[in-house]
Amino acid sequence: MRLGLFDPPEDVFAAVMFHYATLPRIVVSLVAGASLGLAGAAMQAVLRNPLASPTTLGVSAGAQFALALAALAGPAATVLPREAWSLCGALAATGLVYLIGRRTGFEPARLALAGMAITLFLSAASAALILFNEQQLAFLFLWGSGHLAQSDWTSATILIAAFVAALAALIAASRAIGLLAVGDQLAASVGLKTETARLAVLLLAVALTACVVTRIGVVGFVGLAIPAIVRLCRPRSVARSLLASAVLGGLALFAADALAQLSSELTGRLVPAGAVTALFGAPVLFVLLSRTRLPARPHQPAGHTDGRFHDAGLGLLAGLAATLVVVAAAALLIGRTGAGWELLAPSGDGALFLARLPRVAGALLAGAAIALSGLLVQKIVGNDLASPELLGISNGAAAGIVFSALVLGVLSRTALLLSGIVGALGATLVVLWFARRHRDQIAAVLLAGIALGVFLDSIIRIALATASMQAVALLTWLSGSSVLVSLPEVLGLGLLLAATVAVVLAFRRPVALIDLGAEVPQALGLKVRAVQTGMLALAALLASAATMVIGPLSFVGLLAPHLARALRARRLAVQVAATLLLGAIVMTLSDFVGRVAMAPWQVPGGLVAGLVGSLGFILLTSRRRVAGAGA
Amino acid sequence: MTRRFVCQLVFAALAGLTLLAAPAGARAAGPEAGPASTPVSGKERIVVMEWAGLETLLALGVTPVGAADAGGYREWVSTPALPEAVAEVGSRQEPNLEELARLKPDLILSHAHLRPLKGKLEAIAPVEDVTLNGTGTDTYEAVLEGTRRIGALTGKAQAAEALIDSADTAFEADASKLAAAGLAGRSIYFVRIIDGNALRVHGKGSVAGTVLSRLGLTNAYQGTVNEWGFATVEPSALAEDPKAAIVVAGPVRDDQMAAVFDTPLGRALPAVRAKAVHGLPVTWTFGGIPSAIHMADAIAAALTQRSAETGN
Repeated sequence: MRLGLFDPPEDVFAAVMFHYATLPRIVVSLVAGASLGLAGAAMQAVLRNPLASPTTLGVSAGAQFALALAALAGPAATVLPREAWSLCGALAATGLVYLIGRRTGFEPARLALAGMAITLFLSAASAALILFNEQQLAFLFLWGSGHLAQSDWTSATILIAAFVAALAALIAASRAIGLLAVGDQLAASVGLKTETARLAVLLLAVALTACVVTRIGVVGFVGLAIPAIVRLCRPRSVARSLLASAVLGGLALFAADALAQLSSELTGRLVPAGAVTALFGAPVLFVLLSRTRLPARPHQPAGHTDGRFHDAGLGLLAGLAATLVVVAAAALLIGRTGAGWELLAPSGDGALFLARLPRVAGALLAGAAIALSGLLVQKIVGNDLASPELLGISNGAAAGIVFSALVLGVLSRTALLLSGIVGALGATLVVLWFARRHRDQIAAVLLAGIALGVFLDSIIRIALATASMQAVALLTWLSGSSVLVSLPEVLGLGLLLAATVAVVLAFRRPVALIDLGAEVPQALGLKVRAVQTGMLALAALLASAATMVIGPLSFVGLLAPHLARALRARRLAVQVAATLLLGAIVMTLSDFVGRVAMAPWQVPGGLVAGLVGSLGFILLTSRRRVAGAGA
Repeated sequence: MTRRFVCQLVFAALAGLTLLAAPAGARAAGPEAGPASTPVSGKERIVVMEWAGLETLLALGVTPVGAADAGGYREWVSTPALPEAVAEVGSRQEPNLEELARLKPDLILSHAHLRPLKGKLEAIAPVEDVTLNGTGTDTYEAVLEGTRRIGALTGKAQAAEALIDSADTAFEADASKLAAAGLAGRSIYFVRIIDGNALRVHGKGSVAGTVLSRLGLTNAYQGTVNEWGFATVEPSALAEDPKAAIVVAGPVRDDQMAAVFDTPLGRALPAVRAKAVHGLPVTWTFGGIPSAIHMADAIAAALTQRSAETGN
């Protein structure tokens, strides 16, 4: 008699399907989830960083990008197995994050920020690859977000082997991990080679993640949320915390995949498990964070501690303005055809000049707007790592626009802008409410913002997957394309920006005071709530308007205020002006590069800015720290 | 002091809102004022933004001056052959407007999916939206209507009717060929491989669905589909109709076929066990009439060839 469980009769498809599709899928979901939970827990322990995870340290993104490259290289890439490419990519990305982290003493938020910057950089690069190889990389859309369907036991076997090996090694090393989790000094005092031990554990976690990404793609948030949830239960030992993270991670992904399959069944579309983990993982983490009092850490404002007060004056602004003029002139006058480069004479070819003017001006103004929004957000949150992109505000604007386009059927761009503002305001309020409760908790606020952003992003993706074609076509800007901007819209954006700048400068004293926290301005008689709310409205307005032109992931709102600060623009008026100019320069240049780099093909300016901005920010953080260490 | 600030704030807000409203009005007035409403016929410098329109133009004997993603057309559609002289105007999602303007077209053949861009395109040349695919309706009906419109726009109305007639002739010839081989009424899954565990299966409303029924075959996939007439499914979905054969749209590599059909699960699929899986040459599933004819011929050839081999 055949049981059909371990040796299914080949002529009964249901038996074969149960054995080779259903069972391995269950095993893969359990083991992959367990692996991600384990990897996340190990990373968070040895880095003493609640923000560390395969997603936030760029591990998954690195592995995925390397796999996409290998897929494009075709037969040439088959010299090495997919796992090897994935591991190379994961190691390269994590290595970069680690190098940046070591310079900053592994300060949690900064490390996660470097990881997020690299993740954003790599997802922008992946988006560019998909843009030019749409058909070959179509699988990335599904596979890239954790589609767990199986047709044999290969993935399950590999994942089990990797998981068991990693679990054994980490449990064996749990004493060392425990020491590292307490502190480097203590660990060194009992004779542990801290750097070597930390690297070994990280390497293990990275290899495990790379393995998972190779087999099922990126499943976000399990590695971040699960160890966080476990930590809230205060496990008594490192080994227990690792084990609990693995078990809970496995169950979480299993449940997520069950839900994904159920919704696939109901909607008639394939819903990948990764979409579900992002949708549920983010709010769960958000709620847990907001209900828990985390141990307070002293707030250390960066760059205010060196005692000297250099303020770049009008010279800096003149220089930036001159740069902007040069960049804008180049963007307006230099073009590239399929045949070669050409210089445009405005008098000679007026039609072409008029076709180019709105997108150059639109990019310039949108860059300035998102930059100013970034500056305001950083002041409201009291944290120079905040930005509309990282705190989910841009995603809020995008979600608002998508909602009104898809659900309410609104298609006028003015109405979309208004709904974008509502979405951005909503997202800002959520983050701000959170930031008020955890004012001294940079890491927590950032984590909440990232969670909100990922949550909104996954909603947008699900909504778009079920959208009608006209709504989808309308949402071209999601990739940051400035091609739709018209001249009247540019005028509107310009006046909006001018009005906002006027308001900020008119209220420059309260805006500057907000930077000092809640107590000092209150003592000086400032209505903190009112000022914050006003700034919040302005920031949401600017972020929404900019998102309409350059998409939600330009990174300029984070980059420009940082650059302004690095250039020693400290006084508010100078800071505002420098931030505006820098945002405009970066975005104009990005749009220009996107237009000419691959001509006649176009890369959306927001995508180029995402690439350039995240890369620039990675370099900037590491360089600034070197200078600080040398002084 | 405070009152002044409030005044400034209110003024700024009002100014901003007024100007936000302005573009909408300007846009709304645009199309009526534009040159699109002027009747067009026998245009000579045409730029086409989509492959289905491009293959229709070529089949009608009209060579456009520019086409979106011309390189991709050669790989994924391939016939009718695209002359080298046709300029590339960027991707199908985001065409290069400057390149377009340089070609100085007298007609831009666009489609509903690029509607947000219409205003920009109209600034360059008269635009006609002809949407052959992704309409959410019976795609082949849209293809017929679109072909006639393209024929009318280019002064090739008769050629368009001839093209449509040639499709009917081809379908009939292929259908009788299949019937002669005893394959009439055979149920077929028409799929494109995404990866080892995901396929696009074409169902109701797709060109492939129409072609199958015109060939006297039955579409084995009866589930829900999107506006483009396909659904993304896992390979196990191909076991629902145990009598069905599987036809895979090309270009498809051997390793892609193996990733779906040479796994323990794939080998147990009824069609695989019956050796009824056929890889087709390049077949564009979102094309016009030329692609539909090509698809019908390829399906008939693949099925009859196989039945000749295994036939007794």
